[in-house]
Amino acid sequence: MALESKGYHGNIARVNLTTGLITVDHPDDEFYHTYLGGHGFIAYFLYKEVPAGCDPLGPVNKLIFACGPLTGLPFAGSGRHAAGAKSPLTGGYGGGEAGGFWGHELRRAGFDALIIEGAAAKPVYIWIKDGEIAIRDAAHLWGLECRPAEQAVRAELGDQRIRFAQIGPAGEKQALYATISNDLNEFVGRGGMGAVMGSKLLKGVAVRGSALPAVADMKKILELNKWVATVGKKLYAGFGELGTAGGTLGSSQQGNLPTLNFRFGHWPGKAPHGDTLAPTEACLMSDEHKGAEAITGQTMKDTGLLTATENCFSCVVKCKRVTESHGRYEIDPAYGGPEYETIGMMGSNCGIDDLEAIAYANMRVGALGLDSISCGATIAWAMECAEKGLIPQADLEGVDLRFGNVDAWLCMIEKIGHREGFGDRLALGSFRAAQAYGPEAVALAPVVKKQEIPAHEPRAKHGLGLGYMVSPTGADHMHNFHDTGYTKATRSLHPLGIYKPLPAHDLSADKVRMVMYTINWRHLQNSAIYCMFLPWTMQQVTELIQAATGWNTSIYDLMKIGERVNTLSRLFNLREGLTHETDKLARRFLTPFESGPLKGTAVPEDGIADALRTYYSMMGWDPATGVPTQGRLLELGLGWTEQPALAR
Amino acid sequence: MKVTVRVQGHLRRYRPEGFELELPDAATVRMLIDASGIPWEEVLLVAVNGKRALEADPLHDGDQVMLLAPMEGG
Repeated sequence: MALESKGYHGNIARVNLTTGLITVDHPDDEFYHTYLGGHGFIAYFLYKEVPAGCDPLGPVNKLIFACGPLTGLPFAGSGRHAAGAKSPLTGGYGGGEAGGFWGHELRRAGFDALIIEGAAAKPVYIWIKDGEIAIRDAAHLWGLECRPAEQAVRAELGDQRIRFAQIGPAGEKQALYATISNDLNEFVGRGGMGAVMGSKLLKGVAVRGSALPAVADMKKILELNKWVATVGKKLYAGFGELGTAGGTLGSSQQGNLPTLNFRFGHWPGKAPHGDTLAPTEACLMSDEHKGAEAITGQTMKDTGLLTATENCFSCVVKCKRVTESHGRYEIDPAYGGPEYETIGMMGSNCGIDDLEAIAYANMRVGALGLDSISCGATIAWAMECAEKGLIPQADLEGVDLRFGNVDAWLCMIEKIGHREGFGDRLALGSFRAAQAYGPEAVALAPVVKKQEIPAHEPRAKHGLGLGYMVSPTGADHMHNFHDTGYTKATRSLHPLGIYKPLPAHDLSADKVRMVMYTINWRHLQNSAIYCMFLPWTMQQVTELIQAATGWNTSIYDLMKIGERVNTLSRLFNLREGLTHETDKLARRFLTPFESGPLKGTAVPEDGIADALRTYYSMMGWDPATGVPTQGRLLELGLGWTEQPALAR
Repeated sequence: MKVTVRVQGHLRRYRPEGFELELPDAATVRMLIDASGIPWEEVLLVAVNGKRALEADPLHDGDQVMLLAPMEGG
């Protein structure tokens, strides 16, 4: 039956790389209403089709690229798509979202999503153009870094406007935190989706198309976009000028900036008082932020390292950095420039206060296809372990791996990307690498579900810490709650009945409710999909989805979709053995800061355990085991799933 | 008294450039925020001369003030 819903093509492509078979599913309206797109589709297909206990790097795992009803429509914030699979890093639900232009182009090419099954016998890439799909030889692309690979694909297909989502050498070698990048500077970064793609011998997916699906009310979409293009542009001009990088100094002043493997939350730099100190000594002795100031977005602009700003499809904000240098480092602007996460994780977290070096490192992880969050965290973990003598010198192969050593840090990025020597071990992530070095080394791995914590500090934002614990993808800031935005007002949450601001260190039931509602809305956001950096209200998002699909939907309906996606990904994790035992923060975050703005502050162990139980019960999950109850599964329309045993 | 103000993160939407403010003697941090045109509820933290300050803290002539916004995405 033809699809009544607008805003979709009604086409989900399947490409089986083992058999070469290419088919197209045509789901019904109920499927689209229920799962919406993006992470909703990914959670559905992973739960339904990927067998329990499968090897994430084996042919049975499926890699899913998914757009939502908003992807690629002509309004600011629509340039996003998601990719997901069972994660080789966490062993559970894996995936993320990327900006840029690739999702828009996939939609123009006639598909809402793409499911990749099996594994090729030799390197291939997929070419999708206006409804046609081909599997092509990629022997000549295998081994190439991202920019030359993109150039080669565009040249051989004779179209410079092709968008290419791809893996670099790190994905080919299945580094467990390899990315899928598109447009060279956009990444599905977390959880090793690039390793899954590499395991299928799939170098990339090239897309080009000419027709978006029809929408119900284009006039309304354009009217809403006019609002954001005028009001929003004015509101966000200052943000676009410095991008997320502009928040680095403020993050340090809040005690939120990851510094020296998360031991500190502020970054004085190596010479806070004019003398060069070892980074650890500097952090212990000084409460200043000179290191953070040296690597913040304002410095990127003032020093001329920032040469341009860029936007994703149809966006007015231009939050993307472009850096270029021909000085101490040769920095190719095609790879963009470092965002806040990269500056925090690769910079201060590794004891680096040299912004040009960080911009160079950003280019190298982009070219190799490595997640700068897990890569920075894993190197920082190794630096701390090496300084403490937990890693034998012989394993380090002569590299003087200590905080702040730029040469050692750059050397390690290359070794990880190519999986050479000690880099081969670090390519497994901090938790797995730590297994070889005893319990003290394991305790220093800053992870939840074996995935490294990004550049936001649970000791600065306790609700965020809870969000890390319950995130289906492991530590993740993209479907999370950031307490500091709600300490004085809660305007964006008023439609959900939340009026009372709460301190960042509050873990009361009222805070848990805020966390739960926000997380569920974020799951909706990553299913729809739209960008969190635009000032869209919940009401406006509802209107955008109504205008795209023609549905009589509401904030309530959309919240339920978010909750459904959150719960379904929880069910996937439970089936894969990621029980409530894995809903834990690393010990470091339960330990008080020794200095800095939050000196003496830790996440309270009892408080966070209580908050976790409260979250479970508010979600309709068993308060002891975090297993969704049958009643809630039925209420969410997930009665078709198999409820895991409530064993305690 | 005269103080110099710099603005970080999303607060730059209101005042993209740094600016100077003339305030009455004995003005507090809160009075500065109110005079800056930046909504009070959006200012997460204030640093005066590089040190974290409370809203009731008094300001002094020549102070360097930084207004900080929450940091979310990345």
